[in-house]
Amino acid sequence: MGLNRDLLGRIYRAEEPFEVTRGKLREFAVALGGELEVDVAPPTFAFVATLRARRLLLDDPALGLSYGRVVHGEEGFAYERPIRVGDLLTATATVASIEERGANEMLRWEEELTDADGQLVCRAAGTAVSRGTAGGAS
Amino acid sequence: MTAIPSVGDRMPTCEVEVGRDSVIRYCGASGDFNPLHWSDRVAIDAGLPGVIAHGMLTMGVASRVLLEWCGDPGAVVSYRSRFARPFPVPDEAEPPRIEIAAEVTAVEGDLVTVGLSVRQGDDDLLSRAEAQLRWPGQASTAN
Repeated sequence: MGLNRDLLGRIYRAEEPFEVTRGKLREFAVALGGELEVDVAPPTFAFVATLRARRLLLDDPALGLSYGRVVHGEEGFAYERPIRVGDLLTATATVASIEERGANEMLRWEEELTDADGQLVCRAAGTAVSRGTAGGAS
Repeated sequence: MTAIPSVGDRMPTCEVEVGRDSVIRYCGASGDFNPLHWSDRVAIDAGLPGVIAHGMLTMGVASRVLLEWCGDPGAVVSYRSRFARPFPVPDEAEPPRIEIAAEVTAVEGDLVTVGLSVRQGDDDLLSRAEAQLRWPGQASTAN
């Protein structure tokens, strides 16, 4: 039932870079109730740019995560520079840790976004709480 | 350009409506189509009262308000939070409102650390929410 610890340290890479278009940024800004014209992404946009890599991780059948049991526990971003229109971002996601917390398991992922020059743009990390999957759970 | 704030300074508290349309719009804009964010049926099956907002929507709206206060959309150096509880968003004529508050907790050169609170009524939606901003227009004081 529990999550597969063999995947600790495994790195998942999105097949193709994420292109930051003006239209995508506008959609995202408007969804947050913000302005129409933006060149710079809001800080939580990194969660969108890393989505494909994180999906590969979370949806890996070997991990054993059941989507219906999962809630987002926490999220964080550390920027080297803002994400801007025109960026081509490559995302990786790593299984950083899996810990038991009572009946639940806490999966922590770490992600990196790099630009077309290979320079680091943003580091992100988050946790998913997998409810009721810990070994000791009845 | 705004003068660099001091420890203890507070952003004017801001109320934002988060309706079902906001959540559906965020599904599209973010690519996160987890059915908990659009299907009452699936959400109720999962033991929730109905559709809940994405934690990242709550976090995103809070950052938008913070950046409007700061005046520079690219000012955020870091931003993190825990999600304290699910945020149900019923399809009702009067959408839920959240209250966003922020207080400066540290200043080092032009690097300003802000603690954020996002509440729905008496309930905290985020906990330990913190952002670091590189305050705009402070080139001469940068370390």
